[in-house]
Amino acid sequence: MNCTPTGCPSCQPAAVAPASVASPGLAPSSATPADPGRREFVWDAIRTFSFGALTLTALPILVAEADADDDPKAAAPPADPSATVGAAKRKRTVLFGYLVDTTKCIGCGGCMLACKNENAVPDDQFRTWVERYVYYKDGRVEVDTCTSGNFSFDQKPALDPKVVDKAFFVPKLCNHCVETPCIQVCPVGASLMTKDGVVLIDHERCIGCAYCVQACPFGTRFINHKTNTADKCTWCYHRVAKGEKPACVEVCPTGTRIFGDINDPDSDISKVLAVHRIDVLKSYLGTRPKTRYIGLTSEVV
Amino acid sequence: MFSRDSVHLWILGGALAAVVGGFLAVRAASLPPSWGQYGHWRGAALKEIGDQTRKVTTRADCLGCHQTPKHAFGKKHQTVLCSECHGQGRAHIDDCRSKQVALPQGATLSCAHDRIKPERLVHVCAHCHAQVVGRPKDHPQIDVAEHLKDQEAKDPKSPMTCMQCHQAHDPSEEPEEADDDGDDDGKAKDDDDDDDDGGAEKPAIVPGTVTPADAATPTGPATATEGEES
Amino acid sequence: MHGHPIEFMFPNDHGSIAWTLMIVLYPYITGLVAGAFVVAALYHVFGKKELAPVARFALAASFSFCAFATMPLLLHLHQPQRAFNIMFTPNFTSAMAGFGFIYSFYLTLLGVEILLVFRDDIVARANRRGVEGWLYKVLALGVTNQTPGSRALDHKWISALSVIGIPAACVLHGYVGFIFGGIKANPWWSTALMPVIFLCSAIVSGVAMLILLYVIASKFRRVQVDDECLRSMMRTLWLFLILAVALEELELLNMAYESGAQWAMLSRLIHEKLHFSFTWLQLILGSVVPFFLLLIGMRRGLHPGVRIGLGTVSGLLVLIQVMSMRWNVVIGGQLLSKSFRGFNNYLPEFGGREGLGVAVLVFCLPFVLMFALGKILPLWKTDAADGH
Repeated sequence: MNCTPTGCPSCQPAAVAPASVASPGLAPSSATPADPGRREFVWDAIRTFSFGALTLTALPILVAEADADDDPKAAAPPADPSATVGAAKRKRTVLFGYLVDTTKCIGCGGCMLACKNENAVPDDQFRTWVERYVYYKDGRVEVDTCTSGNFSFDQKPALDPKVVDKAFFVPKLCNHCVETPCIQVCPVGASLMTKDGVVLIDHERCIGCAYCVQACPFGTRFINHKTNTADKCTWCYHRVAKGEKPACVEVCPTGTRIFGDINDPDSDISKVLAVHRIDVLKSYLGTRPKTRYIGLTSEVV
Repeated sequence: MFSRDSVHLWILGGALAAVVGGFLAVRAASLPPSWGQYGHWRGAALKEIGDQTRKVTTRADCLGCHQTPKHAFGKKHQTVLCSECHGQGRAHIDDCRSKQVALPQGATLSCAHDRIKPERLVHVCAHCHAQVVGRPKDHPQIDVAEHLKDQEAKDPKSPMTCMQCHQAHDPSEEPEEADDDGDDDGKAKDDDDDDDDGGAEKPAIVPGTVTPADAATPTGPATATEGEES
Repeated sequence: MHGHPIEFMFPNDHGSIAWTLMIVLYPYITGLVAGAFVVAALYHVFGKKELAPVARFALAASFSFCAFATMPLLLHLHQPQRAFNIMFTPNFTSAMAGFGFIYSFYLTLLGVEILLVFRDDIVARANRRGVEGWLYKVLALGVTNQTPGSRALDHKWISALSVIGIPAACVLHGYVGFIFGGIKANPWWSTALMPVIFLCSAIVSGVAMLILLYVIASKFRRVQVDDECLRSMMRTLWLFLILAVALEELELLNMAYESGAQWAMLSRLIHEKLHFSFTWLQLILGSVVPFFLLLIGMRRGLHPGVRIGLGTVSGLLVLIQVMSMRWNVVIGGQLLSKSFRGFNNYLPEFGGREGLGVAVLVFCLPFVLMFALGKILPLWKTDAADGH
């Protein structure tokens, strides 16, 4: 096949501006210089329009950013707004928080059992679990958990207290972060945060890609075998929205797990938060968990 | 621009535009109506999640129908749910309501071990009170086998074995002597019949005054009135 | 004082990983798409004349791999019937949400470019009788005559598409790298270099695949392998291999040097869990050996038969290397539990939706399509005369 004279760039360098093909990059040398006055005007116009366009696009973004800074993402009332404890009376936005006092946990597993029952969680998957950190006298630190039977650590083979320096239990659950990596990475908008700060999953929308499972630093998300969608602790939102506590909090016999409105200074949780030294898991990642802890050590991950 | 030479390109462009148009039409048809109501998610999801049935019952739920047990609650086990030892849950409440069960006067929460679920039988108390590395030092815990031997407990395999000396609802500091006169009032036969609540609070309910209808919504503890000693 | 803790995994991490063989296969296939396209672009945009013999085939290969790129993803999704949610309600803070649009755009771009590149032949065959004739009429978009003007327009569009296709290819594969690189929860994945590493190894895999297919196809067609073309591809492969491996090793070196909190476990990951796939397959067999084979193989004046042999072996080793690199990234990153205290195991099953059998089947399909395309269009026609 022969080259046509109409200017294929690889065999006809841009010396000739072809008549029938408009090729923007092909004809600089054959152009006549523009009238200086006209050129000035053109550049002025370009500058003005660019600046104007930038401002017009930048302004709404800046305004939106300023608004977004105040509250956690997304705006939605809880499922039954009038039932959220105290909200209507106090006319204040409710923001839920959770506190785990690891100095009180006895590893009875009641929370795990209650959660399983309440939320029909499949057997080998967990919305909440309890870890035990054992510091041996020889310097080892070992971590274990009880994920079978009735989840109580008294079922496990007994450890010898004489070789142990200290040991404690750390309950784990979804941290309902402020800067959620999970909502950030969900490709279809199946992960959401309510106005009162609870992170939930829309099981009708989730495509089961497991991106959120990968993005969660705390291992609290999983793909539920039964529903084949992502799943995680919801702080029992179906109970919370009706003024009750999450199942695990309700069951806990030692007051390890505390739940409440952190915007209400009179709530139990606010009173504890005001007094104790509070920590969160993996704070270096910047996800700003709303599940806070008392009594963590550097070995707790 | 639109010349004979570019017809095929226009046809191609048209075909692509049709595909895009088709995509937008399908999207409009399949987008859920509540999408974007509160944010980049389906608004109806909130209600679906909120409608999940509750299962775990609070103490208030139980006390809605059942009166204060004959051993009043002591401070220590206030936070232990009734269902931890007695089983049952929301299904039981719904079941009773649907059958419109009327409680006879003075009905109590069954204390007997036939109400404790089989899987709990062995470890009802040991579950929390067995000595386990990791439990806080100030939490009362025992080496179960040793303790039962020391205390010369009768029938050590029975779930009620701990109840021979301890009251589950009011485990005060001092374990009581064995209730050996068989009247199941938690006191040894020689003890005086004095008030045994150790000064603890009584989240009482007037016996026999609560009917299933009243218990339709979970209530907190009613105002304290003295319950009858049975 | 207190030592490192021993094996403990978060309960939800225990026993299974979420992204399996299919998610290893997906970046492998899109890598081949991007890589094959780059070879075609080197010819169309960067004017590497010596690639003329493979330029058309490269496009067809890119298209064939692209056509089946969604299959591993659909097989992986736990709710594949909702797959279109990703295009109906994309959440643009998610890298994965880009998939639908980027992929559709790229597939369209490739399809259009093929229709234009092969237009002369399509139009010429549109006059055939029967079903064949109709097929070519459809491919010709109903317009069965050509003029110098239309040819010129086609030229222009081919150039434009090739130019657009390069950044598009970078995005197509770069976003996959970003899916991993942007996850701060996973220390094996989280790095700014990930999109670049993925892209470089994509190009490496594409060029290697083309070398292999060119040699094999030439054998079948009983045609001599163009020595300059092969040499050029081997040199391109060598250069990008150096770049890809340098970036990967730099990343590791940086991690090892800084020796951050998770380095102890990541080091164990490499030495214990990924010893075979990383040290042997990816590094030694897959990078060091081809480096030297290609170094020798791209010398001027080398006997053509020797060059073909070295090229084929290098190509094969590099293809294995890129596959093991994908494995090491995707699977490797999930073998370490989020507790940073224990390791998982993963061995793909043979059967099942995400098993080896299905993976092999899915990987064969692009070759079937290439074969079919070869029956319809002259994939091996050299365009040296008309320069495109």
